[in-house]
Amino acid sequence: MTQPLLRMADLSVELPIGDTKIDIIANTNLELGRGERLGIVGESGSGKSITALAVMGLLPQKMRVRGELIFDGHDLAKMSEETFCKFRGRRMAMIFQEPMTALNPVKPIGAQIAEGRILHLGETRADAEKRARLLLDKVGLPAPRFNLDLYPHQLSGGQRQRVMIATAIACEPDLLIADEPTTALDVTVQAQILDLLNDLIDDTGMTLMLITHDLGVVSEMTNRIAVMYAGRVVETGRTDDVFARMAHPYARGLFAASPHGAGLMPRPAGAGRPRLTAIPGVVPDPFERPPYCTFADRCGFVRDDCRQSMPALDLLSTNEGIEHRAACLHPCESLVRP
Amino acid sequence: MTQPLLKVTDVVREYRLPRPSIFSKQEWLRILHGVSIEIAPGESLGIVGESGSGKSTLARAVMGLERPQSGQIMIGGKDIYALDRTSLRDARKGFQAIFQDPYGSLDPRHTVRTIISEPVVSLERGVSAAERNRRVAEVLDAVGLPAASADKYPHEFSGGQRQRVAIARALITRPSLIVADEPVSALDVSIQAQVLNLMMDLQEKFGLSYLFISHDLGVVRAITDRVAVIHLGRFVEQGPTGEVFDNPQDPYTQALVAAVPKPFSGRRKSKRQQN
Ligand SMILES: Nc1ncnc2c1ncn2[C@@H]1O[C@H](COP(=O)(O)OP(=O)(O)OP(=O)(O)O)[C@@H](O)[C@H]1O
Ligand SMILES: Nc1ncnc2c1ncn2[C@@H]1O[C@H](COP(=O)(O)OP(=O)(O)OP(=O)(O)O)[C@@H](O)[C@H]1O
Ligand code: SF4
Ligand SMILES: [Mg+2]
Ligand SMILES: [Mg+2]
Repeated sequence: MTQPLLRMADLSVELPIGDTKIDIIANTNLELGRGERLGIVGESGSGKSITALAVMGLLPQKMRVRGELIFDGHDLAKMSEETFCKFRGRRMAMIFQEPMTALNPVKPIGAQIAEGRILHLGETRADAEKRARLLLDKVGLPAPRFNLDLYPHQLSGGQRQRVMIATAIACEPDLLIADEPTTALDVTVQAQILDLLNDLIDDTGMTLMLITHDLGVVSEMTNRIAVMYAGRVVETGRTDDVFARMAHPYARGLFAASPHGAGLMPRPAGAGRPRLTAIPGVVPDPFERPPYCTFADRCGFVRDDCRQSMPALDLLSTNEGIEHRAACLHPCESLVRP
Repeated sequence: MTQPLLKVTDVVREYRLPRPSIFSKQEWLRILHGVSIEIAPGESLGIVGESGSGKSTLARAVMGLERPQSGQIMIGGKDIYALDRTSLRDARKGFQAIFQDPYGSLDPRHTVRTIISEPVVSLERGVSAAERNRRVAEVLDAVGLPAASADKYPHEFSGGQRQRVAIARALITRPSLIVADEPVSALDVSIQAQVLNLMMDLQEKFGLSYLFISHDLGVVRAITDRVAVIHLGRFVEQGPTGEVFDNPQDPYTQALVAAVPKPFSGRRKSKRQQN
């Protein structure tokens, strides 16, 4: 087997609090081959963005990585900041969840997009800005309305997000991490951006790690999926297999809660507005995670043994060489959908 | 007929374009071309439309943050741009906003407690600290955040958790109108469902109205009574939400409805496998 582009083995991200430490991410194992498309879904606060930031070497100051984190044979956990700078933006790039924090408010958008090509590829400013122009056109921000000299505050939320997408793909990285790349976009622009990412992956063999809560987007864009809950991967496998079975009760709850399900049903006349099926309770705070199944307090399938140990990410089946695993003692057997 | 809670009439809003040089003529870009909407007490109106079509601009105008070049915004029968400072402060208790960019709208130097109680401090003078803290705990609970969150700072939260802080802040004065600009788009579906359910509960309990901006048609369908579709700064279609989505009349609305990604549709995937 060829070497994966990215490998996390028993990866944890720890945060020291006083004289104890807590694991924001706990013992994660994930591999990403070249040209693969992995989707990451999961509850707010489950650790999706922190996983991505760990790969980018951009963790909040106090957090530390434990375990293995290998990118193309390089151990990222041991990499010097200097070397990391050469990788970041060039070999790996990230579309951040909150555009306003990632864009520089006092720098014109053209210069922000061109920066990477000047820095990493040694292009002249003129060439890099030509490229920036092309990228802006591709993300649906054409000239002359969207000139390179606009500033981020002169753009709408979705337009800023698209500038950030252009910045991230400017150097055609090997690995693109997209953290909720289309959350601020209406569906027609979203479709355009997803098509753009699709073409880019096909043309350049780029690897995609797509973090999103939109199950429609994951199902359309990815081959493989990891469902995260409370800092752990609780189910992973081929996207189609996971969607068909949803072995982990949390994965089932996630789908049932989607407005694609309930919200789009016709509303019964006269009755009050139907409520969406939320999963009861809240995701445990990283400080208060129990030493047993972290979903137990919210799970409809819970049994006594669930509160005795932490379920391992066990193998359920293998399909086309890709393993389907779930961290549940009593995985749902029936298919949601054949 | 009852008086509308919010009445927006012929609002025009323009932005100055950057000048290529100081000698060139100042050019203006018209974003809102005379838009009008109404919301009855207890009703929720959804606004959907393309990125850049002027939704947030309209929200800012309604919130009293950016005066339109022309047109009128009446909340509870009062023209908010004609009020003096004290009357505006009184009126502001009645309407609150949840903005699109949660990080940008939360001051990173303050604790969540300070952030959430800010509207009470500035709008309801004379509320005791103990009462303020009680209300902070109440709204945190309502949005599903642990009480201990009050003493943390915004950067210690995930994106979705920050958005819930913003929602808690909007709820604390028990306003009658909430302008919500993409309030749940940063939330995963389960939290999204909780927050939407919460917003519906509050609506039924307190007769709240929402001006609800979202690009997620599923979300809009779940929470709004009526919807207005904006395209290039003009409303192209308005009506009961179900009717508009089931039987869209305007070509832009039709394109919008058709573009929704669907789980299981495999649309993009099958396209991918073909070539
Ligand atoms: N700087 C920080 N200091 C302390 N805790 C943090 C910090 N940043 C994040 N956390 C905590 O780490 C956990 C994981 O956060 P993360 O941002 O990865 O969530 P997420 O899965 O991306 O959620 P969302 O969907 O809401 O963006 C959360 O419980 C959050 O409160
Ligand atoms: N301060 C400003 N100066 C110049 N143009 C602006 C300014 N603010 C917004 N615009 C422009 O006004 C238009 C409408 O912006 P607005 O933020 O209202 O869009 P929106 O409908 O909320 O879009 P999105 O869904 O992307 O958030 C956009 O084309 C934007 O570029
Ligand atoms: S291990 Fe038990 S509590 Fe945990 S998800 Fe599975 S059934 Fe539910
Ligand atoms: Mg996140
Ligand atoms: Mg907006």
